[in-house]
Amino acid sequence: MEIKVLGEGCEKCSRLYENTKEAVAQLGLDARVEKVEDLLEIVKLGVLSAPSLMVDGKVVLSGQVASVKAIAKLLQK
Amino acid sequence: MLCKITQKGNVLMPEKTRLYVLTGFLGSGKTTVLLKLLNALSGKRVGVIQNEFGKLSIDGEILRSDGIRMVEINRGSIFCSCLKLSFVQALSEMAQYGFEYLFVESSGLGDPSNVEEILSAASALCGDVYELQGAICLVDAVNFPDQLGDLETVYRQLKHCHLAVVTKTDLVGPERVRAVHEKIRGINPVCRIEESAQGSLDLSFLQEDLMQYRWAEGEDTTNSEESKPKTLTLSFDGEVQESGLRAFLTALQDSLYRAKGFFRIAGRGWSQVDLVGRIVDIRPCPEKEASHMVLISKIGPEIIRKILPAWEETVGLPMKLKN
Repeated sequence: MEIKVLGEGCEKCSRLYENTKEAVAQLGLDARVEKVEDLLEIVKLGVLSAPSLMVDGKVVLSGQVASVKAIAKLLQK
Repeated sequence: MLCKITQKGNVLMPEKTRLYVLTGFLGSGKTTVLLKLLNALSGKRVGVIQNEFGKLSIDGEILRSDGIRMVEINRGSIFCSCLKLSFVQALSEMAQYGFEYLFVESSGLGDPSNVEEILSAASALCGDVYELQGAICLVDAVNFPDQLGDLETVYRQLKHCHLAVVTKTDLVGPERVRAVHEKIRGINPVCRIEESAQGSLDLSFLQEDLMQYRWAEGEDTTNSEESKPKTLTLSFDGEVQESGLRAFLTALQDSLYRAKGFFRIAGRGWSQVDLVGRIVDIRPCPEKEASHMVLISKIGPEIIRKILPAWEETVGLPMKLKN
């Protein structure tokens, strides 16, 4: 599983990144969690709100932070 | 997509939109200069992206007019990580109109050090539509020397501009104007410098390639969620006495970067009210639905504890204060 947390380094983006890592650990998923902070790269991925969460190339959460529990739910879908 | 075609050699090329970014600290006269530019360019296809720090759009109301397409981005700086993407999106949306000119009025607290990064992100989305013509930084001759010590933003706005316009030169002596010129040169050795008295401005720069004055490399902006100053909105029903309102603003002047809004004032009617530094300016404006004012704090949330007693003492009528 390829997980990307997109955001240019604001506090909300960091929280989403930390929560995502925690959710992955709790679920024991074999996933790579990557932080994408470069504006150009984010835009190229077709995302225009931050922070956003992308799983295997699909945006599953856009423009908001989510709790560990909510992210775990998204990852199990 | 609407776009003007020009012939270059034997090849027909779509003409790019000329993009200008207006910067300058709070109250330096950006909206005034923008109104002047819009007036001078009437008849042309012109778009505006308006960025304000407060939640309420004050400058947007001043600028709103038929025939000008405007996108407003409020609640922070368009150069900050929190709004950069909104700015990219706005640039991309505006691209579809094929404007001849697009003006971006950034917030007075905006640090445009990363404008070129944002433009390249926009090109990834909408193509190579814009030609950056220059960043124009307005420098308030009255308040600039004080502001420069206050915030890195003021320094960065000047460092990254291609044209600096010293405004309000009619309110200070020639000595001060000279001193401001020297300060500008100390920060930006290359930019063109113009002066503006009472909102007048020589617009010949529109004919010039201001990018010839580019010297500073782009860098990370200092705008961030953490460095964002506190803004509050005061709303008020009814009519206020001018003397009370002036006393209220004077009581708070040292704790605010800026206050701006609209009030219905006894004997004067609807008025646009501005506080910049220690100067309160009141001028007539079109009718509004209600009186409201945006206050940008120099001292963080502490300002709330000053606003309430100051209002009680000077105006003393019910009002609402919102985050």
